[in-house]
Amino acid sequence: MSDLYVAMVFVAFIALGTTAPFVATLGYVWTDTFYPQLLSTIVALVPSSMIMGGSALLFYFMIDRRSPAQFTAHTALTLIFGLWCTLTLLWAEVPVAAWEKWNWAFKTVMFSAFIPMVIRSRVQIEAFVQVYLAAMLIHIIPVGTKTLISGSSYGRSLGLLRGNIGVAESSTLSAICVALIPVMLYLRRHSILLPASKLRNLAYLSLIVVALGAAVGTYARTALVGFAVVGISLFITSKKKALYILFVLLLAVGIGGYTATSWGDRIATTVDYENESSAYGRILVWIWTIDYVTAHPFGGAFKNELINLITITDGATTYVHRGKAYHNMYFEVLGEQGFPGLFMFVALQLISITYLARVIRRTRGKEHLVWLGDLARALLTALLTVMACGFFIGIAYQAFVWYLIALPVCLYAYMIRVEMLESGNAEAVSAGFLIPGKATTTAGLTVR
Amino acid sequence: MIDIATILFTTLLALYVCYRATKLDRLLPWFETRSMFEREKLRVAATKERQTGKAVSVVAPGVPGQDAWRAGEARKLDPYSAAQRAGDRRRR
Repeated sequence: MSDLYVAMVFVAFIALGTTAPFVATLGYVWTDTFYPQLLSTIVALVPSSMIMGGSALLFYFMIDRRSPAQFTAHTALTLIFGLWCTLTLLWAEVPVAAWEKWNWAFKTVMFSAFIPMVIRSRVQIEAFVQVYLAAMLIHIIPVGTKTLISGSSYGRSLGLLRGNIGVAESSTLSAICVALIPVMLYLRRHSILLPASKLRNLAYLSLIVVALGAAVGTYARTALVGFAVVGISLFITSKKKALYILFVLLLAVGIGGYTATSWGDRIATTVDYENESSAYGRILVWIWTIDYVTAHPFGGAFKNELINLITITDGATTYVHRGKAYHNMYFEVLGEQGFPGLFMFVALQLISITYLARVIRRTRGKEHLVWLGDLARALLTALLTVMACGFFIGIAYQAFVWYLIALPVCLYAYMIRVEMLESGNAEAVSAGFLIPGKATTTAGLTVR
Repeated sequence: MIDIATILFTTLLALYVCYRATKLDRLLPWFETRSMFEREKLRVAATKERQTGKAVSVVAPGVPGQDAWRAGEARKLDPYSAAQRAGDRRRR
């Protein structure tokens, strides 16, 4: 029954996409996060991501030409990064595995370049965030609810999807759970798609509790890093700092009292890394990566970690580990795409942070852009959380990282357009010129 | 039970959001400037006053239904003019 239901939802996204082209893009985001092909045998019969991605592109270029987006340096760099990832396949260490990873990673990178073109208005920006959250909840709610009801343990799979698949992997899930907390706080206050009511307020607060439960329930040490980043960020933006500290202390005591000692033991290995083979093995992989790129500055293409051989001595026992994963998104990019790839990857993140910082600064004191400033703050916290957690998980090509890199471009473009309109430059905005007099158009896109 | 309820809840939420977004994207101005925001604030205040039975003083006279008025204003102020829209249709 649920097979048919999920298939009907999939079709509904395509149907809605014909009436409003940006919904097809939201459909792709939903498919990429919800994994309907793994939950419905009917959807599994068709290439769901390809259909939704194709629809998004088709509908955009055929029927969505209103206020076209500017072609920015950020988009150009994203495209160059995608091309560089493809080029590195020429010297791939493990060609078959490299092509397999390229197949999904390349799509993720290219789609992030497409997002700022489609997502332009306030409604579209919020819809994007809401649909991503709704799709992510399929992985968060089961883990969070089951943890809160009956507890969890290390290595136990409580999610809807079994195994370490994409966002269902415990460390990745915990990072997203924590990163989404500021986004949920934003939606609770500013959502225009869900009407303001006590129910909405309560629903978002409940979801935050469930997300906290899920982050703790995964037993992932990455969650602790995420908690620290979100905690500090919320402290900085909080207006009642003393009250906030009291709340955080109460929460920490609550989590400490609620969780079993096994959780504390697991988290304690974060600092005691030399006595924990998993954590120590990561450090050895990072050392191997540095040695590798010193000899191969252009990297070894996707999945080149499969050639490493890590020896870990644990007391009297010696383990030899072949193909140990990077467990760090920066080392992942460094090993696979070399120094040029890492430079582009970090540059993209820094540009996104700069955009968000500019939006926060320039919307200060503007009553009509309060929502934009608050969203920029929430996304900045989410991006910094993912970047910090990324030091412990190999998530460089996971879609949510690229959504968080692309969304700041949408926010920045929105702010620029409003500023242009306020200065009486309506025609330039409708044509896609964001800097009048310095732009020429080609096929609806603006090139500077 | 939890799994099935989650599938139902999250999919309905996603579809509802898309439905609302489709509707509001046509109704609301894409890029809201300060003047649009101020006008909307006045309109909301006037509606509230009307509902509470007080005299309407701030909003421009002859304002028809709320949504129709807002859509009309949005069209007027939106940079994507009727002429451009017609041009785009012809190109398509």
